Amino acid sequence: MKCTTQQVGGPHSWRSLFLLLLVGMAPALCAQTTAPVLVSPMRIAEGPPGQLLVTDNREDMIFAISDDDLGIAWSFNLPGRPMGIAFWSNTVFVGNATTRNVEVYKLKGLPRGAGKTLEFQYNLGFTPPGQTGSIQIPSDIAVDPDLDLVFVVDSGARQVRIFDFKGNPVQSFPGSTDPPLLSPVAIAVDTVNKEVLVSDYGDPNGSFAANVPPRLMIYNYAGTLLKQINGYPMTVASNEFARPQGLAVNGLGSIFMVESVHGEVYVIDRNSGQVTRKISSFGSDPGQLQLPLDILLVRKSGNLYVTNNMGKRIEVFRGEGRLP
Amino acid sequence: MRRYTIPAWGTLIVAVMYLAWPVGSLSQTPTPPPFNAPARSLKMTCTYCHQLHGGTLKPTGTAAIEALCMSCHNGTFTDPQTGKTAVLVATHENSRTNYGNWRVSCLGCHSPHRYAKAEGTDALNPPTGYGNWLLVGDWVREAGSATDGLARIRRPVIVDTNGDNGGTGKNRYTDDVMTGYYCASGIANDPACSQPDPPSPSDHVRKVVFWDNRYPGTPANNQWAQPLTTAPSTPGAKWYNGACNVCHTRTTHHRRDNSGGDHDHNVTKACHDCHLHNKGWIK
Repeated sequence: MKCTTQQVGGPHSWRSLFLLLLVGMAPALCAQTTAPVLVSPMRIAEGPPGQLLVTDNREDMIFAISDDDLGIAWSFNLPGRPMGIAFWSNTVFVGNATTRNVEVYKLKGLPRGAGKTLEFQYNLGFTPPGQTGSIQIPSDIAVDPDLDLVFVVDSGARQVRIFDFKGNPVQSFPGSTDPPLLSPVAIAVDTVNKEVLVSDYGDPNGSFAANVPPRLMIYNYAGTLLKQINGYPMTVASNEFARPQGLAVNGLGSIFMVESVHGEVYVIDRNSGQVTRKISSFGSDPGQLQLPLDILLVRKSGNLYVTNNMGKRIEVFRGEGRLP
Repeated sequence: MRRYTIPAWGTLIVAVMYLAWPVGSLSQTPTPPPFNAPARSLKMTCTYCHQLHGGTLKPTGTAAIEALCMSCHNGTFTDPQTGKTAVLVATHENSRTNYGNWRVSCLGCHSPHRYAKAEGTDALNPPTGYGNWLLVGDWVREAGSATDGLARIRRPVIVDTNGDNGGTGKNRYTDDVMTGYYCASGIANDPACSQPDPPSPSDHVRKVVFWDNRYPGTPANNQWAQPLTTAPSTPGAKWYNGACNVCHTRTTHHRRDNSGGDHDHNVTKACHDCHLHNKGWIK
C-alpha cells in the first residue's frame, strides 16, 4: 500500500492506531516523520459525522478536523492548490486552483474518526482528468443537497456556476445584461429560502465612474439579483466592512460574514441589510481573529467555525457566537 | 458568374468533425503561470489600503498590516479594473526550518509607498519605474557573534533626515541614513550586535526593485533574485545581491563572499524558480 494520501497525525494518532489495529489494517500504517499541521486554513465545510473539512492553500492539503476538540483526524494531500470545499453524502467537492477544476472525490473508510482516503471521481463539467478546466479560480463552493446542486464562485471569471451532482453544468450568472460581479470571493446558499449569497470586494480602487463598494449580493437560484448590501463607504452606519470573505446563513434571516481585514464576524439581518452584531475582534489571543477567510455554521449544534488564517487554526464560537 | 455551393455531404463531414473535436482543445484556456504573474500592471490607489473603515485607515502593527496585504493576496481577489488576480503569497517564517522562531512579514521586504519613485542609477540603486514595490532589505543578518558563533538578525535604525517621509522609522527613502542596528532585543546598538559590518555590498540596507527579466523592458541589471549566468568569482559580485541574499549570506550555495559552498548550483536559475513566495519561500 502506498503511503501518499492517507496520513495519520495530530492529537488522534493513538486513537487512529487503535482503530486500525482493531480492523486488522496495521500493515497499512505509514511511518510518519512529521505530522501534517494546519498552516494556512482557507475554506471550511461540514464533513463526515463529527468532522469538518478545511483546505490549506499553502500545504496543498485537505484536513479533517474533529468538531469537538478541533484536532486533526486525517488529512489528504491534493495534487494542486485547494480552495473552496463542500461535502455531501461521502462526496467531497474541492476547487483546485492549479488544475482550474472543481474535483469530485469519494470518501472511503470508516464512518467516523480517522482511516479515510479520497478517491477521485470526475471534474465538474467533465473536464478529462489531468486536463486544465474552465473554472479560472474556484474560490468557494456550496451545495444544496435537496436539489442535488453544487454552486461554485469563479473569482477569475466573476461568475457563479451551478452544476448538478453528476457534474452537468446547469446554469451560470450574472448574465451579460445583468449587473456584474466585480470581485466575488466567497459563496453560501440558503437552502431554506433557496437563495445564493456572494461576497464581493467591489472596486477597491474606487476608480469606476460610480464607486462600487464592497458588497454582499443575494440572488435566487435562477440568478435574479434580489438584494445588495453595501459595505464601506456606508449608507448604513454599521456596515463598515471592506474585505468581506466567507459566508454562512441560519435560514432564519441571519447572515454571518467574516471581515478579513478587521478580524470580525458580522451578523447581518437579511431583511434590513444591517449589521446587527459583531463577533470577535482582531488579535492573536484565543477567540480573536487575524485574517479570517471562511465561516461555517453547523445548525445542529449552533456552533460557528471560522478559519483563522494567520492564526493557523480554527476558532469556534458557540451558540451562533452568543455564548462565551 | 459561376456559383460555388457546398454539397450536403460536405456539410455533414464538417458537422461530424466539429462534434468529434475534443472540447478542451477549443476552449483556449490559458495555462496557469508557473509563478507569480507580474503585479506591476496593477496600479493601486490609496483606497486599496486606506479609508477602509469609515475614515483614514492607518493600520498599526505588523499583524494588522499583514492582514491588510493578505486580504487581497490570498488567491481569491481579482482586480475589477485589470482582471488580474492578486498573487497568492505566504509569509516567510519558521514553519519548516531549524533556525528558531522568526518571521519576516510583508514590510520586512516591501515598501508600499515606494512604487516608481526615482532612485539612483548604479547597480545597487537601480532606477525605478520598471518594477514592483521596493524591497527595502530591512533585515540584515549578522555574520556571526564572536562569542557564540551564531548568526543573528539585525534590524537597521533608519533616521529620516529631512522629514520627507513623515518621521523616523517610516517609509525608507533614499536620503534616509542608517545610524545603527536594533538587535533581537530591540535595543539600538545592542552590544550583542557588535560584529563589524560584513564587507560585501550585498549587506546592509539596499534598494532592490522587483524586476523580472521574463517581461519586456526589464533592465539587464536585475536585482531581484538574480539568476546566475556564470559562476561569479569576485566577492560581492552582483549575482549575490539579489533580494534573498540580503539575509541569506551564509547559505550552502551562492554565498555573498564566494566562500564555501557550491557555486555551480543551479546556474542560470533564480532563487524563486525553486523557492516560491506562495510557499513562504521555503522549498
